[in-house]
Amino acid sequence: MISARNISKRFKDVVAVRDVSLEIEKGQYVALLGPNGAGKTTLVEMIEGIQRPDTGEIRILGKSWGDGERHLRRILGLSLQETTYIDKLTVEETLNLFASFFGLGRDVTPRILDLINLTDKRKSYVMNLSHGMRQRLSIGIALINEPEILILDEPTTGLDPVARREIWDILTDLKGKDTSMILTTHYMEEAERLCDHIVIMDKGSVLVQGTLDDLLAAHMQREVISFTVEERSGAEALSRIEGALDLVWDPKGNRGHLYVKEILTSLPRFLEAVERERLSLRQLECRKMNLDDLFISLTGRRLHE
Amino acid sequence: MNRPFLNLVALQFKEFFREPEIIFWAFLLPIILSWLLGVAIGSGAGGASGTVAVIESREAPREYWTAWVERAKEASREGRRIGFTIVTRDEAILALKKGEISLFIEKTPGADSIRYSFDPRSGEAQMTYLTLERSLRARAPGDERSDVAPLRIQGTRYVDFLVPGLLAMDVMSSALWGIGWALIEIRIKKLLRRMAATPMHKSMFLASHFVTRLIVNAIEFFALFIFVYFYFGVRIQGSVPALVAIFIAGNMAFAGLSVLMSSRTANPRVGNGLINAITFPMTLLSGVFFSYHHFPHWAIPVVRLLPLTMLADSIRSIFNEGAGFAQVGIPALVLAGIGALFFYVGMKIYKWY
Repeated sequence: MISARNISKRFKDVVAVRDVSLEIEKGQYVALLGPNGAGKTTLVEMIEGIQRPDTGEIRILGKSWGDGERHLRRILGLSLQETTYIDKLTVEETLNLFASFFGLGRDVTPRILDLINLTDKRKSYVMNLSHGMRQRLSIGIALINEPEILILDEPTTGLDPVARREIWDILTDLKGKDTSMILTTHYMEEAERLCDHIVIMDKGSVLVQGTLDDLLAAHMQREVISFTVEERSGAEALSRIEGALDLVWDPKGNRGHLYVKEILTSLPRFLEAVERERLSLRQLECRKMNLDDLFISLTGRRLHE
Repeated sequence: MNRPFLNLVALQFKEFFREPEIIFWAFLLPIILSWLLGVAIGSGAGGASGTVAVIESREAPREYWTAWVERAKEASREGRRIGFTIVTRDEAILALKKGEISLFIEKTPGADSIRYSFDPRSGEAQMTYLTLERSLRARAPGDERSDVAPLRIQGTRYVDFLVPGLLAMDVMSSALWGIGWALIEIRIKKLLRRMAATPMHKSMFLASHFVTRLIVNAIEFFALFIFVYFYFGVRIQGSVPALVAIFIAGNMAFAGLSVLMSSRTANPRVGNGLINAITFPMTLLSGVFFSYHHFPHWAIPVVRLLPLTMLADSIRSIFNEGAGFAQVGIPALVLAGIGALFFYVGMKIYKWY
């Protein structure tokens, strides 16, 4: 459905996207996961036809932006980052306006209002909506033309957990309706919960991609002991305990992540090493490896940095 | 029906009328300005400068006035700053309406005196009259008597000069702020790229701004005209269809300029600066408040090329000189052409995303 091959994009002396290839099937939900500046927005904006790649080719349903722009505009539904809608227009008027751009009547608006749970707010000015409601309105606008492909650029960034879950519920309800979705996010929980194909990006490149199951199988068979110590000196000895695979430190502070084959056998050895090296342990957490840990193990940095 | 063009026009009207302060700035401010300048400044100070017309007649032929002008220029330093032109009475009236002169002098019919004719509300005309009288009397007291005839001819008062200029300026400001600034603001809000990422026709989007502003400007134009019609007795002496044509052409010119001006910038400070850089010089130079004939002679042909000058002069000639399509047809075509050209170039380089 979407085929992006060897896409690169440079802004002056910064390479925003470097030789990225991506294939998205019909009905697939894809998460582009990465920290700020990873190149997620630049990549989706090239897929959206808002920016042109310097090299490489993007085809959507066999058409490129050069030869099929009007058709592609009709089948895409977008929620761009940081869009501010008109303050003194009501929710209903805003949806009517965008419906008209697609040649649709006002009869589509009640269905969208219902879908995004804003029926009660249909007469409210946009300026009086909460941040979460505005994001829901943005998703409603993206859905107004019943798009074949939905592209949402960080739809839940800055939202509180309740507002975030409301948006997840809307997007979960859409699954199974043949709509494909690309979602950029730096919340690994969002990617895990909503998407079946995950692309992890950093510094303009794709680090790994695959289904959640593939990634778990290939990279996340390990377990993690996360800890904080008073002083780092002497703590490197922890990486030499039996069963330890890798030790990664957060760039700031004294928080480390020890990747082990099995917590059950490694934890006693870890605690012995702490005792032996006279380390002052402030915090300790044991868990299964997740996407955030995968990102740390690949880049040495956390997703939210 | 849910037509995008009508939705876009309606959206701008809603934005406009849902901001109560806009009603003041858009409608009441031009009226207050015309009242302030028409009433208050009319009796205020002004410098003795510019050109005075002297009227050639059987009783006072060209030779008489040549000698008189010599005396007036020799009489004082201020007198030397005043330019004189020897013309017929009809030519002087026309020059008054155009703002080329503020005062004319003629031989009083059937009496051995001269008559100064001017709008008593014009400070500039009063100062010129007083300067001439004082210097001539000081040099040769009792040499020649004089009297003053306040001008009552429609179109020769300062307010007659001012109102068409204000109407033209209103078209310019309204277009640059209402279209240019509005488009920059939509780009800053990143709403422009969101709208452009739909199947919406981009030229239709810009055209909706032009149509909305044309309607708003027409309402503003009408509101100001109604005020000056009843308060100052200002009348349209020329062709109303020609006035409509030049009004639409003026709107086209400034709408095109607004599209071009807003085509690239997404920075509010740059946008603000651009609008000021366009409006401020034109407001000063184009003869909105005072005639551009006070500028050096070499500058006048350049000033006449400015869109605001073309629009103000054309509206003024329809209001005060009884002009019609024959007089304003070419300026209307030029303004419409400027608008179309700017719109085309703006569309070509427009930054939608």
